[in-house]
Parts: sequence; C-alpha cells; structure tokens
Amino acid sequence: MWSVIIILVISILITVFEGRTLLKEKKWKELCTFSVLLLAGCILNIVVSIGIEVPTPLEWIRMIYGL
Amino acid sequence: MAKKEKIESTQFRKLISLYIIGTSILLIPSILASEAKQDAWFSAIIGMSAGLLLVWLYHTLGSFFPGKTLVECNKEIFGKWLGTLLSFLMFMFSLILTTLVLRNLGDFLTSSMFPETPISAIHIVYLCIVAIGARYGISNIARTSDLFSPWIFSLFFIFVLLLIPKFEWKHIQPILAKGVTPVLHSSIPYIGFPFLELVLLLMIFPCVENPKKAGKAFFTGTLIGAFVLFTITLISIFVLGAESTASNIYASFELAKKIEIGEFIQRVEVIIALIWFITIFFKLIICFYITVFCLSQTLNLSDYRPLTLPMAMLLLPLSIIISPNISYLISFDTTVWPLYALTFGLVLPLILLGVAFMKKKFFSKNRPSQAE
Repeated sequence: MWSVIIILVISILITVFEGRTLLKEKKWKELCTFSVLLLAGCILNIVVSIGIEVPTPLEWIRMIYGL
Repeated sequence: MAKKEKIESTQFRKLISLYIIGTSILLIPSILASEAKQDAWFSAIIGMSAGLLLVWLYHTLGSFFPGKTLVECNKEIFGKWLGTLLSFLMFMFSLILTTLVLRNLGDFLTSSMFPETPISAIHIVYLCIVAIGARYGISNIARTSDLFSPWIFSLFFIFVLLLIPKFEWKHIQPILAKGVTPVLHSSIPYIGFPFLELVLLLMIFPCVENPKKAGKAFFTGTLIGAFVLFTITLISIFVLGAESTASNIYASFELAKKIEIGEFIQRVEVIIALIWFITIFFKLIICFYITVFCLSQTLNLSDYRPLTLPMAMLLLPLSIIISPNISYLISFDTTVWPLYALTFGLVLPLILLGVAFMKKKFFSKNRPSQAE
C-alpha cells in the first residue's frame, strides 16, 4: 500500500515540476507525450509493486523472430 | 529543433570506447568461452574485425547525411509515415537496450556485492543519476567522460598488471583444437552485443564538431573498446582457464578476486569494480539519452528534456519485468538479441544507404541543379 502512495506522490511531483513549465509555454505536443509516458510508467510501477505478474516484452521479440 | 549541442571528437572517442566496454566487460568472457573454450580470444578478434566493418558502414551512412541524426535520415529517405514508423521501432530497440543494460547492472550488483538489497533499490539510485545526467545534455555527458576515462584506463592497466603473475600458459592450449566452427559461432553474440548497438551512436554523431575527425574518432574508439574486451577475454582464459570462465557469468569479477599482492593485500575486487560502475554508468546514460532523444525527434518535439523524468519512471518497472531471472537474460542475449540487433544494426543502415545512393544517382542524372 505504501509503495502505491509513494509512486503516486512522485508522479504528482514530476507533473508539478515539469508539466507547469510545459503548460506555461503552451507546448501541447510535448505535454501529451509527457503525460502518456508518465501515465504508462505510473501504472506499470503500481502493477509491479502490487505483485501482479506481467509477461516480459522480450517474449514478443522472441516470437517475432520465431525462436 | 532545439539548438544543437556540440561535443569534441576526442570526447566522442571516449564515449564510444566506454559504450563498447559498458556491460560487455562483465558478460563477454563467459559468453565467448562457453562455446569457443580456450579459443575465446580468437572469437574476440573476429568480433573486433566485424565491428570495425560495421563502424565503416555507420561512418559512411553518417557522412552521407552530414548534420543529420538517424531519425532525420529515416524521415528524409522513407518519407513522413514510414520514416516515423521506423524511427519508432528504432526507439523501441533503444528502450529495450536501455532496460537490458539497467537489468544487467542490477543483476550484477545483487548477485556479487549486495545480496540482501532489493534489485529495485539499486535501479532507483542509478536511474536518478542517469536521469539528472541526461537532462544536462550530451555535452555534459561528454565532459564527464573526459573526467572519468583516465580513471578507468589506469585502473584497467593496474588490473592487468596485478594479474600477470597468475598467468598459466597451459590454459590457452591447444589452439584451435576443434576447428574454426565453434570460434565463428561464438563470435556471433559478441558482434551483436556491443558492436551492432553502435548504430544508435549515429544519433549523436552529428553533434561532433569536426565531421572528419569524428569518423576517425569512431574507428579509434571502437578499436580501444574492442581491445579492452579482447584483453579481458584473454586474461580470463589465462588465469581462470576455459571451463571456469565459461561457468562464471561474471568472469571478469571472478578475475578481480584472484588479485593478491604478497600474502597480505587480497580481495581488492571492489576497488577494481569501480571500472564496471563507471563503464556501465556511461553505457546506461548514453543509451538513456539516445532513447529520449530518439523519441523526441520521432515525434518532432522541440526539446527532449521534459521526457527524461517520465522515461526514468517507465524504465524502473520495465527493468523488473523484462526478465524473470538471469539465465533467461543470458539465453536471450545469446540467441535472440543478435538477430534483433542485426535488423536495426545492419539491415536498416544498408537499406538506408542503398536508397540514399539510388536517389542521389537518379537526381544527379535527371536534375543536376537539384542534386546540390
């Protein structure tokens, strides 16, 4: 439980730290990429810290090359 | 595009050699020795020559599009959509490489020095430094390499010097007892592991101030890095023997444990481990920088800096889920990775170069005024 709270706090801190300047300079494309990355990172972090098994992305590469 | 940062050619050379030494210095001796046995040093030479050929290809590609990064080349050659798609795949490649490097570091530290520490704690500490470093830009990373590379090379020199009394010449015999096939076979993962990854350095190739000297620095940097790897492989076989080198995942760390001066200075491996901390740090920071830079150029963003912190945030869980254990990682490194790296490190540059060459020929024939 604590780890989830810490992850959320850090994400909010990063948003405040970076997102504010992006918003002020009206860089929408940067803001969009930034939010997508941060959201993905946040969700994956929570998923891992809760202990849900996630299949490794390397398995996909292995399948693509047929090994 | 953001204002381009500049690095000097000597700094570029240092960056390249550190990038090649990177994590390979830990893993390469055992990967090479697992099949080639006592001829692993021979595979290292083959890998080195293949690496120099690859560098020649990358340099040709880099000087074909002066001042353009790999992503910009992609977009110019393949047009907007296909270029963006290929650049995105390139970004995935560098992201996976960064994750693997981070995981290698974590695995090395947890299994050799910090057995009780959770692996994510080590990753967090390293990612913090790397994210901060990448935010400051490539010229700062290059200046850091100026500062640290004398340390690495002098430590490496001491490392070799202290091991000379432990050499046993009988370990290296018989030479080529099983023919050339296992030697060639085991050099394949070696070519894929540090050398095909050099394609990513085309992202920072245009930052180098003097393009002519940059090409030379590309070659000498590769040569220095490959020579260090060759030396470490040779020493591992001389000191540990082929069997023991192949069975230790981190053979060069095992090597450092053997150092003793007289009877009283022993177990200095943690001092020597400074080499690995620094080289892995550089490999990680260069990969990280390239990943973020690649993404920002693919999406035509004006600056890559806002992406560094979220990217670090994303890398942390990725590095945990990327592999269930170390043996999976090693088997991936030796089987799938060479193919995957070959796609981006050889096939893509060849296609780029071919298409660019055809285009130039075509244009210069029909419309000479536009060829300039």
